[in-house]
This record gives sequence, structure tokens and C-alpha cells, in this order.
Amino acid sequence: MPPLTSDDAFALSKSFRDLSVALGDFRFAHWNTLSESDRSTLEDEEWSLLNSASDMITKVVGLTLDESQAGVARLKGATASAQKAVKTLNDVRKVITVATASVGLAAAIVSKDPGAIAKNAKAVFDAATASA
Amino acid sequence: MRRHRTGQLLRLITAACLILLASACTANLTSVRDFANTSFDAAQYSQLVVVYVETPTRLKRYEPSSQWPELDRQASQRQAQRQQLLLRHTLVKEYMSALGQLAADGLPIYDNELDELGKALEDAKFADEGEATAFAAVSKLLVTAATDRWRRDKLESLIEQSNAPFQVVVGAMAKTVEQGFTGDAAIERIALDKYYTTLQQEGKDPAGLAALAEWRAFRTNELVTHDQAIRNYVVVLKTIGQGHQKLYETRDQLSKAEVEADIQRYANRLKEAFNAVKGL
Repeated sequence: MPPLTSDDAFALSKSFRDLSVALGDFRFAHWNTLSESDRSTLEDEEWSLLNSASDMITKVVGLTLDESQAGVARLKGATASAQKAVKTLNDVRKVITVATASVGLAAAIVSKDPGAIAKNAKAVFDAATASA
Repeated sequence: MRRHRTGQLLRLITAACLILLASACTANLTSVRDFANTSFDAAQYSQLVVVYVETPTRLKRYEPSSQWPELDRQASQRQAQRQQLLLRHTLVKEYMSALGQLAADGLPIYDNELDELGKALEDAKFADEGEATAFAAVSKLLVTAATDRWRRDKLESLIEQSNAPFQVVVGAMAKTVEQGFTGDAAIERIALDKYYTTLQQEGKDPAGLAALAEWRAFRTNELVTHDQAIRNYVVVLKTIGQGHQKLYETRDQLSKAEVEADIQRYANRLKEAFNAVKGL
């Protein structure tokens, strides 16, 4: 995957922070039915995603180039499907699977590892669509 | 008698021509100076950079300690960006100082901050090559203006030579604030909401919950104010860029009344947006 532009990093940051919000909404909406351990797992994933979004903002500020890159659309597609799954699912196990895969994708993007990005994007997409 | 009258008329015409010539030479370019001075003041405002650099540290208030090493890592990355971000402010400030001086037929000043710009370029503080080149171009012009003791007759040349690189630097600043700082503020708002909602879900004591609600409202208001400052500062930066573009397009007719009026409109819009930032 080519290096991220500032516009790409901004768009991905927004995708991951929206996903973090969606997970939080799930946690609060199911607060009384979730075990303490599940709440804690979900919350950890939320913070990890939010901090990845923050890390991408640091990259936005470090870059000023404008060329748009293909490939980022696929990543945004994966996070969008994850967000949709979290919003529609009721099964916490499936939500945690989607969240964990998304945290892996965010980490791969931040570490700029092309192989890991492709693998994790597929994992997010698979987790999101298998859950639907 | 007739010869006497003709002589008087000639003297009158000559005097009128001299007055016109003198006023053309000493056109005060009030609107250019006003635009430059307001841009100078606005470029001094660097509070948003400070807030951005410190966000990861502030997020530790809301996040569990397991996330702190990651936030510490981000805090040091942002600390490393701080100088570059502040240098952009310095460049715009120094440039507007020179522009204002030339418009007033004064001498641009060579000061420590101009030296600092040169050193930063040598140290390659810029991640983006395009911006580094633009930065170097404006910076070099400023040094030339100061060392060659440029005066008003060089105003047009300064505007002409600096416009393209100046637009790159101001454009980068506007983009950083509009995307980076806005995104940063949105993240802090989400962190705040997660933190307080979790505490409120866990809380049982009505008095404790009431106190939490008050704190939440207080912190939320702080972020709303910060958000407004970001939005207004984007307008400030875009107006500086647009105003300078107008100077560039009309650089050979700056003393014309209609051009003065146009530049004054940019200066007024700039003042209005910057006053909104300062008033928060």
C-alpha cells in the first residue's frame, strides 16, 4: 500500500473514532446484560481504537500532501462494515470479534505494515460479514 | 492682463500636478498596512498548537492506565512536531511584519526570529519537502528584504515573489487546523463522553452523580469553546491566504481606491474572525 496522505489519514482517523463510538454505544445500551469482563474487554477495544484515531491525527498534522490514493477506500469499507455490524448485532461475542479485528487493522495501519494491513482488513471484513 | 492670468493658471496647474504626484508617491496604503498588521497579530496566536500538542497528556485523565504508554508515545511525537508548527506562525508573522513595513515605507527588520527560521531550515525540521521549499523561499526573501534595506518601491516585488510559497505555508497551516486540530478535538470529546458515561452508569450515589454531571458539563463547555476557536481560526488563516492572493493579483495598482477598498474588506473580515477567536 502506498504511504498515507493527510486526507487518507484524516478519513481513517474518523472511521476508527466512529467505530469506537459505535462500540461505546453498544456497551452502554447493553450495560445491564453484559458481564463485567465483557464490559471491560469492550472498553479496552474502544480506547485502543480511539488512540489509533488519535495517532492518525498526529500523522495528518505531519503531512501536507494532497494526492489521493487508491486502496484507502478498501480500508474505509472494512471499518464501515465493522461499524454497521456493531450497530446491528446483539451478540457480545460477535461484537468483540469485530472490535478485536478492527484494533488489529488500526495497529497495522499505524505501523505501516502493508502485509498486516491487507490481512487485518480482510479479517475485519470477514468478522463483520460473518456476524451479519 | 491676459498674460498675467495665463501665468496664474499655469502655476495653479503645476501646483495641482505636484500635489497629485506627491500623493501618488506617498500613497499611504492604509488597507495593506491594516491587513499586514492584523495578519501579524493573528499569526501570534499559537494557543491551538499548544492544546494539540498536549492532547495525549490530557487524555490520560479519561483513559485507563493500560493506555498510558501509548498516550505517552503520542505525546512525545507531538512534542517533536511542536517546533515545526510554531515556525509556521513565526514565518507568517515575520512576513507580515516586512509587508507592513514596506507598505509604510519603512525598513524590514532582521531579528532573532528570522535567524531561527534559517536555523530550522538547516536542521530540516520539515517532514514535507514541498513545504520546506516554500518555507525556504519566503524565508530567503525576508532576509534579502532586511539585508538589502528594501523600501516601498520593492513592495510589489515582495508580494510577487512570495505569493506562491506563502500560499503553500498558509495552506498547510489552514489544513492542519481544519483537519488535524478539528479531529483532535473530536477525539477528546469522545474520550470525555466515554469516561463520564461509564462513571455515571457505575454510580449509585445521587449526590455523586449530580457532581459528575456538573463536571461533565464544565469540561464539555471547555471543549465547545475550543471547537469554536478552531473554526474561527480556520477562517483567519483562509482569509490571510485569500487576502494575500488579492494583493498579488492587484500588486501593480495597490494605491487605487477600489483596490484599497478590496484589501480593506479582507482586513476587516480578518479582524472580525480573529476577534471571535480572542473573545473566547
